[in-house]
This record gives sequence, C-alpha cells and structure tokens, in this order.
Amino acid sequence: MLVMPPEEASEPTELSRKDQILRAYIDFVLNENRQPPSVYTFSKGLGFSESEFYQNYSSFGAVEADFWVQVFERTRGKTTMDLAWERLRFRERVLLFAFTLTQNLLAERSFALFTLKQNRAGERAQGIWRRFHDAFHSFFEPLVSGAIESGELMNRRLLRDRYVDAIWAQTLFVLRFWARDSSDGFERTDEAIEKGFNLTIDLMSRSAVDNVIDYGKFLARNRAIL
Amino acid sequence: MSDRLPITKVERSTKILGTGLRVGVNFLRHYSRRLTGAGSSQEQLDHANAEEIYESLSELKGSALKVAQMLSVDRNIIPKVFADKFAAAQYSAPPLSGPLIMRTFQRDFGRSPDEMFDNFDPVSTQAASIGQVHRARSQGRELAVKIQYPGVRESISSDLKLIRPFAFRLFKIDGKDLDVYMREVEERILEETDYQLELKRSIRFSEVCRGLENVRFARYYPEFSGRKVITMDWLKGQHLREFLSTNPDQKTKDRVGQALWDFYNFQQHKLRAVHADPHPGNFLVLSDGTVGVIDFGCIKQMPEDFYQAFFGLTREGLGRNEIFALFEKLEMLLPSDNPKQREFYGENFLEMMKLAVRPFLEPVFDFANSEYFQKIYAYGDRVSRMPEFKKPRGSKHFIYVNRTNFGLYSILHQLGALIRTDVYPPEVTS
Repeated sequence: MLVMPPEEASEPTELSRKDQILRAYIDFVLNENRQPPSVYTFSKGLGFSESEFYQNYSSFGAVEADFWVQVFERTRGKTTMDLAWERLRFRERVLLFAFTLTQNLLAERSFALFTLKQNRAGERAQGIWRRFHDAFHSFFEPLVSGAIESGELMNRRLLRDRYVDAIWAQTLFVLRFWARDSSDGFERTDEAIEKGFNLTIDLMSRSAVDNVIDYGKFLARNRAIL
Repeated sequence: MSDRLPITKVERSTKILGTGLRVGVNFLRHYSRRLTGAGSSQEQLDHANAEEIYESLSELKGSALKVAQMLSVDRNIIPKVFADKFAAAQYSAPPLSGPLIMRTFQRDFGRSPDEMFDNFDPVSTQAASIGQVHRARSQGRELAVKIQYPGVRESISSDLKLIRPFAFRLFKIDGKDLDVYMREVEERILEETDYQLELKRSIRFSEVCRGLENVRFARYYPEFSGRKVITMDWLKGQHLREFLSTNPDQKTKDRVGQALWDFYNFQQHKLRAVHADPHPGNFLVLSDGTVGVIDFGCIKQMPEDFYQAFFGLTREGLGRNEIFALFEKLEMLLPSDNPKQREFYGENFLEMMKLAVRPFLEPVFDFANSEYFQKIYAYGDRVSRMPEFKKPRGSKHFIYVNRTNFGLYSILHQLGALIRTDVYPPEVTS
C-alpha cells in the first residue's frame, strides 16, 4: 500500500483542490448547460464546505476566469517552447500564438463556448476576462517593445500604447469567430487568424498610414500657400 | 437581377478584343484577334484595359485566379498584354505564414514539416492558384510539397459569382445561358481543391500512362500527403517557354510535341478522361528531352455518348445528314431550331468541324502550319460578329474538351512540331 508522506501532502492537495473545483465546475456546466444554483449546493455536491470553495475562489466567475488564465498559460508555454520561437519575427509569433490558442481550446470547446456566451468579452476586459487580459498584456508588451526596437513595428506617438490592445481585440474577435465557426476543422478560423492578424500588424508596421499622416502634417504646415 | 453593367472603358474595349473563354462550341468565335490589330495604339488600349480587369480580378484570389489562368491557357488567343497580366495573377496570392503552414501540417499529419522532412524550405518557391509550393528533402530525394490555401474551397462559389459579370462583359454571352457552363467550371474547380482525389488520380494516371514514350511523371508520396498537402518528386526541367528560348532543333521540338500528343490522345481515347489543364506551366522539358507532367488537379471525364458523338465527327466519308445528327447529339443543333436556323447553325458548325478534325485526317500533321491556324482565327473572327452566336450552344462537356484539344494544338503550334497524328486514334464505334 502506498503511504503519502504527510509533510508534502498539504501543498499538492491544496493545489489539486483548486483544480478539483475547476474540473467539477466545468463538469457541472457541461452536463447542465448552466451555472450551479449556488456555491453552497455546488460545494455540498462535491462533499466539502462552502468555506473551502471560498478559500480558492471568490465566485463562479472567478472559476471561469481561472479557466481562461490556464488556457492562456498553456498556450504561452507551448508557443514559447517551440524550437523556432527565438528566430520568429513578431508577426509570426502572434500568429503562432493565435493558432496554438484555438488548437488548445479544441479539447474544451463546449465549456469555452459556454463562458463566451455568458460573458461578452470586450476590450474593457471586465469580469472574467480581466485576469486573462492582464496575463496577455504582460506577455505581449515586451514582445511589442522588442519589435519596435528591431524596426518591425512603427513607433507612433499615442498609438503605440494601444498596440497590445489591438492584438487583444483581434484575439477576442478570433475567439468569437471560432465560437460560431462551422467549417471542417475550424478552417475558417485559421483564415480569420491569418488575415486578421496580418492586417493588424500591417497597420502597426510602416505603411500607408504613416504616409497619410505625414502628408497631412505637410498640408497643415503649408496651409498658407494652398 | 440585371446583367447589364454600366458601359465602361473595359466593356468598350472587350468588344474590340473579342477573345476568350471557350464556352460550348462558341469558343471559336473568340479565336479572332490574334493576328490582327497589333498596331501600337491598339496595344496601348489593350494594356490599359487588361490592367483594369486584372485589378479587379486580383482582388478575388483563389478560384478567380483559376479562371484567369484558364483564360490565359494559351497566350495566342488573348492579346499579349492581357495574357501577361493574367499570368501574373497566378503569383499575386499572399503566401501562407509560417505558423499557418505548421498548423496545416499539424492537422494533416500531427507533425511539423521539420519533423517530417530532413529539410523543408519555409519560403515557398511558387504560388499556384489555390496553393503554394515548397521544396523539401527526404532521404536524399528532392520533393515538391504543395500546400493549399485555407478556405479556398468555401470561396469558390462566391468567387465565381463575382466573376460572372466579367465573363458576360468579356465574352458577350447572355447571362442565363452561361450558368450551365459556369456550373461545369465550378465542379471542376471544386475537384481541384480535393487534394485527396488529386493524389489518387495522380498516382493512377501516372501508372496507366507509364508506357508512353518520352513522358515522365513525378512520384507521389501518400505518406506525406493529406487533405491540404500533396508531396511529389521535384522534377528538374525547363518550362516550355524557357525551352523554346534555347532554340532547340526541329527534331527535339518534334519529340517533345509528339510526347504531348501521345499523352493527350492516349488519355482521351483509351481512358476517356483527360488531364484538362494544358497550361504550358504544367509541363517541363527534362534534361533528357522527355516531357515531365505535373499537376493532375483538373481531370475531365468524358461520358461515352459525348465521346462517341464528338469523335464520331472525325470519321471519314460522313454525309451531311449524319453530321447534322451528331450535331444534335452534341446540342449544337437544338430540337427547337426552325429549318432556317438549322441550316444556318449547321453550316457554320460544319465549317468549324472541318477545321477542327483536320489534324486527324492525315497521318502526319505539321502544327507549324500558320495558314491552318489563321483559318481558325478567321473563322472565329467572323462568327464572333454574328448576333446568332450570342447565345452559347453545345454540350457543357465542350468547355474542357475544347480547352484541352485547342490548348494542345496551340502548344504544338508554339513548338512548330511535326506530329504523327495516327497514334492513339479516336476509337469510334459507328
């Protein structure tokens, strides 16, 4: 018989209790297609007290938030572990991230659809999206800075600070698109990723936009002679 | 829905161009402008308009490119600037990003290209109309890996709808009558996006055709092929145009031409199915002077009754009534025709038919013969001015069968090859 050493047992069980709650919550939602009626009945069903739930999560929303953070962490891990990662340009890194994200979500599509439907994801990143958004932000911000240094992206006053927000918005768009996609193997989502992010990044790179601004400035300066 | 579109420069000039898509038997009317109107002002006009049409086409990508490619199948039919623009259309699709290539491989094979091949070039060497080609190496073999753009299949129907108005304007054909032909094109193009079917066909056709002299095929690799990927040997050779620019001697040109003739007529008459894409880009002249065939995406199967009626026309000593009976089977003459119409269409088709079967009537035919091709173009030019031919006629199967045969004739003419046309003759049961 296997006897667990008591000292090491406490940490892992606490971790797994959190995980256990998450899994049980997902399971409940998938079976019932709704949130559990209350934390009390939910905890009781799992055979522990309400306080134990609250030690891990503040609400069901927090459980869903945790789901998305875990999805993000898995995606980030897999993306940056890719052998080619160091060699990739910013554009390819973003694309790889997005493709990996939708790939990772395949196994949990039903639950993802449920939370996407329940919680309108917006650029504001409120509610269950906030933690995902924050993690997303701290991952992409340094990548954007690097891309600006290398000259891949344009450093535009005012707009530069919105670059990560644009990628975040594009990511949410892709998730919503994916939620409604009915093509084989979600091929159309691949197309949405490829075309959408390429355009977003084109706009952040030196492009016609800069020339328009530049020309506008020129015209403004020379209003006198026009 | 109205098929009328505002009269633009494009429309005005396409009237002058009179080139085009071989819809039904109507195709010949488009073989018109080839030798005429080469004056510089004409060319400039063509250029401006080709530019304009190309601009609209290039926004379509995918299947529209395919149609453009189909139209540019032989550059003699379409004015040169026009053809060049269309040819360029093949290269305008944006290349797939590295991550999307990875994604496609993951989905088809569960592995990345780097895991599958000893070496895989992430930069594509060429863009085709519905995919792109990468070079790879595995166990010492040079490979060509064709990867399809995502969403091509889904976009075909909508792209073809977009291209409809262009087709009306370009070819002056009534809207409703065009639909049956557009569906035929749609079907073929849809088939071309089915890479699993293409792989099966490629393997089968290259096996069945293995006995042909001077024709070579790439080896295909099912283990490296999937829903969106086809892997084959990388054939090293020159495209026909490059080959011609090296000024090969007559004997070499004849050999290349004969290989192509054999390849096509073996398929038509022995297999009743034919590689219906005689685009010069689908052939390579290999270093040993043989012809390498690539791309079996477009295969046209000929139903037996169509085959018998069509090639029945090549029989010698047919009487006028027999020929008209065959025309009826081919829907070139319709039951609704009155005697005057029957006489009119019958006579005109008879003239065309006599031209079309000429290479079959002699054991050896010289495709360098400009006089023969001029007659074809003159006929097309004349017919294109006849209002009676505004309505397309003829079985839908004509589109690809004519495209194949006239495409072949045109390539042989470019080669200036002397061909033995009695090998693999039509097999008609009377």
